[in-house]
Amino acid sequence: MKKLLPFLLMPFVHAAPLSDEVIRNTAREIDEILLAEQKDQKITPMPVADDSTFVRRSYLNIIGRLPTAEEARSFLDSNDREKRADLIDTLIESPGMKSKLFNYWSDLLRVKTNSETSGLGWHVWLREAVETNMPYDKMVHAMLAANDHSANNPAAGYYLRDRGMLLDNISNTVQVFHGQQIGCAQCHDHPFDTTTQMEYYQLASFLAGTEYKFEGAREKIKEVIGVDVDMKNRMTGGGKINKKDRKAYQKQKAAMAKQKAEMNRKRNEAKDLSTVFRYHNRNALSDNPKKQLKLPEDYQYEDGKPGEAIEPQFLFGKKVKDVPPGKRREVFADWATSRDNKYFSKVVANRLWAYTFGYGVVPALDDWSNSPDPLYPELVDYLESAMKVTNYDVQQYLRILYHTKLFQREVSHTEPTQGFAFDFNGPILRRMEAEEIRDSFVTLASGNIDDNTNYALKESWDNYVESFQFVMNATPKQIREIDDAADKAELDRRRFQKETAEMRVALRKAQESGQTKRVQTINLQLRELRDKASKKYRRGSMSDTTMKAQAAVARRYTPKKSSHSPFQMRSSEIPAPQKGGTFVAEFGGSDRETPSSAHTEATVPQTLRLLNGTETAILLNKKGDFAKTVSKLKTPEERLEQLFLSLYSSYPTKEEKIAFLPEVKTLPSTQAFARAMITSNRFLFVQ
Amino acid sequence: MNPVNKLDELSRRSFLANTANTAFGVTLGGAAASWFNSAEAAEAIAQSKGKAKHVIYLYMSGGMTHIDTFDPKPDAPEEYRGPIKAISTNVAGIQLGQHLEKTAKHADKMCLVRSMNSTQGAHAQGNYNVHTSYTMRSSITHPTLGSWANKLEPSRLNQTLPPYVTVHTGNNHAGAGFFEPNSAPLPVGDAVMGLQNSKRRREVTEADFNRQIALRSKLDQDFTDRFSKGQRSVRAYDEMFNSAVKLMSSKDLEAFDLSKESKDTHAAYGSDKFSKGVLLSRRLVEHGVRFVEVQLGGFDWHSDNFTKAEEKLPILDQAYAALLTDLKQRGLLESTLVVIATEFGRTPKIDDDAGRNHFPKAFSFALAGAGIKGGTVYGKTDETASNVITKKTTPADFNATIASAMGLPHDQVIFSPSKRPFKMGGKEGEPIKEILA
Repeated sequence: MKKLLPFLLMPFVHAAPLSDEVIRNTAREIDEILLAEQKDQKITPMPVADDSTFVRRSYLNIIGRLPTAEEARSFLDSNDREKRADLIDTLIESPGMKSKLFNYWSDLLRVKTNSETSGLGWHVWLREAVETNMPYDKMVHAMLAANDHSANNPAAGYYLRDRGMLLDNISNTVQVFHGQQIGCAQCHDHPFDTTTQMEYYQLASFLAGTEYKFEGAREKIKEVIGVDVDMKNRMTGGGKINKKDRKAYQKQKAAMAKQKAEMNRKRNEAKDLSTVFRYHNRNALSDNPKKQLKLPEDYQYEDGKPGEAIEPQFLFGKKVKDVPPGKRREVFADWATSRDNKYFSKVVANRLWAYTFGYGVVPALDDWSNSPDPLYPELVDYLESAMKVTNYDVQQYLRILYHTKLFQREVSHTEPTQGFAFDFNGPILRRMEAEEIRDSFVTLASGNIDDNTNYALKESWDNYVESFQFVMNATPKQIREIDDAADKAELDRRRFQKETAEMRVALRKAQESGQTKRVQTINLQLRELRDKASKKYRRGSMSDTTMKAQAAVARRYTPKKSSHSPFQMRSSEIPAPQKGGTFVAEFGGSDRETPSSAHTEATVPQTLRLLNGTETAILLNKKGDFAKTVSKLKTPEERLEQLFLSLYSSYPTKEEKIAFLPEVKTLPSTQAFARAMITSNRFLFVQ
Repeated sequence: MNPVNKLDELSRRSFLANTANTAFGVTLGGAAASWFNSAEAAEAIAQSKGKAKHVIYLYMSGGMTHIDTFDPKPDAPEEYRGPIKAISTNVAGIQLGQHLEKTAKHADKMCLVRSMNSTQGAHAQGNYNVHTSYTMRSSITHPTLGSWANKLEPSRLNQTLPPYVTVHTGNNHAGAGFFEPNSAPLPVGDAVMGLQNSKRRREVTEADFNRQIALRSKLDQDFTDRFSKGQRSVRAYDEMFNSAVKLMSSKDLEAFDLSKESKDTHAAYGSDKFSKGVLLSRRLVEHGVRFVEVQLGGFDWHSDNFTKAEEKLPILDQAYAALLTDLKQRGLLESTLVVIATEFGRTPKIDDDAGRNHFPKAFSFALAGAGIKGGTVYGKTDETASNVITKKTTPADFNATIASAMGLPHDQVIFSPSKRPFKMGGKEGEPIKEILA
């Protein structure tokens, strides 16, 4: 039975950011629910953590990096009674919070910045959604209902990410947004769950009309050549043939032949012009109302026949009838993101709880049907209502969680056991995420760089959209000009490809037979060829028109380089997934292949990297802020304090001073000491 | 006692204890001994006739088409077989898809299992099932084969190199699963780069380095006391730290260095990243590493199946054939089992985009080398490779077979921390006795 009417359920209309009072009261009610249950279950909550633990945790959990020595010092030295609450409210409004949150959503949604041009658009769109704090339900709806070219609607990137793999896409969708694992039912009835293969196909059939096709191309070509060559009824005029009047008949026949020839010419022209739009199908969605999903050939259950067309149906909740074929994705998106959807709100509420405290109240974030029962079912309900009352305002919802007493407690001494619910006597001890370690290094070396946005990504995308719009608004004459240039470029590209392919074969033969000289020569020729091709591509003899259209016509549009060096930007600003071998990849950063693939598992190469890698060396290099500051300090006391504040966010204790002051007597010994700190668990973990 | 002295003493002791206990999974005493039922395992190993001291496990990520590779159907209708022809091998009666031209010369060493069958038709789930013998659950992570091997019988082949290495595997590799961190594989992200950062930096003196190591445990004293017992992740970092330091002084580090191989050898394996991984696996096995997995990604051909087959399969073909030749020449094939696995097959009927989709109902794996009868085919699919007709084999059966070839008890129960029983061969996996040599 519910013990108290949660504060949040009291009727009020939410419009602006929630007031401090509402936030704190809601946070308090969460603590009360938790404490009441913990008392019943004889669980002793951890004590409130000290200031240095709190400041370190707050920076890492809310904005994804360590506080600088100054930031830590200013918090620790403050006597303000409200300093913890104030810190949370400051951090939650800071750019670092968006950086961390963007990493989180991108990992969950598997955003690949450079997968086709639409990947860049989706990345930029999602970044803006986070930046403007777009409500979560609107954000998800925009992606699930997306249609059109991604230049017009970059949220289409969500479907384009899985081009040609709609069945996989739909199982990811319900896993991510509804915590349901239905992947098995793609091939057979789910063995542990209730989902049948029929239900899977019914759900997937909401996406059946999805085609990866740019409708605008046909329209534009029609506009240029003045007739729609795709239309069935191609012949116009003519009328009934009068065979009796020989003269008229001849005339009519000639006219028809002429018309036919004209039509063929136009059809060829249309085909030719389509090169302008040849790569747009990779970046566009359209909807074909006639297309239906059919059961697979090996369908083995009695409720359907192989090859049978399937009508769409929701996976759970109310049933739907007569879905208009042209609106299937929209109906699906409405259902998926509705306040009344059984799982939509509580799944995200639980995810963000885990984002904050390290583990879900419902432990299996992606698999609610097979999750161990939560210890605090009432809390699950309460969090769901909190999510609804904030109107899916992620920033405000997180703010509530950060204002709880739980967020201030010491971490639990034991980790949750996989497969069991956790008692939340405190937050979970966790290793810093890959991006958090990297971003902390960057901050140590360059100071607070949270503001350094990689505008190049947005500018590149804007350029592409501008170019796209230019083409869509171009005159027939301009389109023809663009087409000529595109044809020529295509010919050049093919010739270049053929030549390099031939050279590569020759290279391999030379390598296999050990002709060192020949290998060198061919390599040199290859490089020259590449240089030539890229110069030609860049310079060429481009007119204003072809120049403007270039981005839209290119096979793939690669974003420009940022004006900031990567070491002066947060990880969120770098195209993802980060390549193998990079610091982030090595420490378990998401590979963007499956939802939430980032991990914090220990490996030997990670340790080797911290011990002997360039990142540590750069950090300790005298040119960086960190080493410079430390080396300027005159006394061992000052040095030790600076190191402790920078890496542990705390002042050294009396005992630590006695133990470690002898270690920082000279600069070289201080270096070894700093190295030891960087490889220590106390550094790598977040308490 | 002076508190600082106490701190010193404790940290020194815990450091020594950690170091002594750890040799990449060769944990012989301490807490770890309790979860290794040594008497039982030793007996089982003594009874078995396993020949494979090493395993090289080649994993084709994305779901490799079976009908175009190990299970060709030259007599099937065009819309099934497509344009790929079947070719003869050096064993009469065994055919392969035409892109496996070099492999065809090694059929006498291979056993093709053409009757693989599973219920896992999504990538992550299929991959997991094949690697662990279990289906993916949210409540537990099961260990992969290499971790099982070292759990059931700690490797004594090399004391300084890790017994289990993965090359080019992605983020979703289940690794040690619920086993302690010391059974986790060492991941190599790029075979060409080898094991990076394994040398002390020039500007760091040996004395400073040693001091740094001692300081680390002193700094972590309080942290260790509080968390080491209750937190696996903390123990993992201590394990890895000690392993890393140990590895730095290993005489066998050059095992990771591909530049030690001749140009001819490089050329024989091929120039792809995968080829380098396979070459690395041979070097590692030579230096006593017990289990090496190398992945080749990009088999998910929902469209343009045949163009992609033409691009991708020769990479596998060349590296695999080169590996078998190389192992044979070095006398290592008698002690090394080479496996080719993937998450599922592809729909035999070609779709409108010239693609093939996920197909767990029938697919093929290959075994070669130690412990296996070469020149054999096990199991059969129907005329279009759509259904397994005889000798249906699950990934758990297949993994039990690997266990047997290694002389490991596939059905020995190990309990998870949540006190549930698990086996290397899964819940019901049975080794395929007739293909074991």
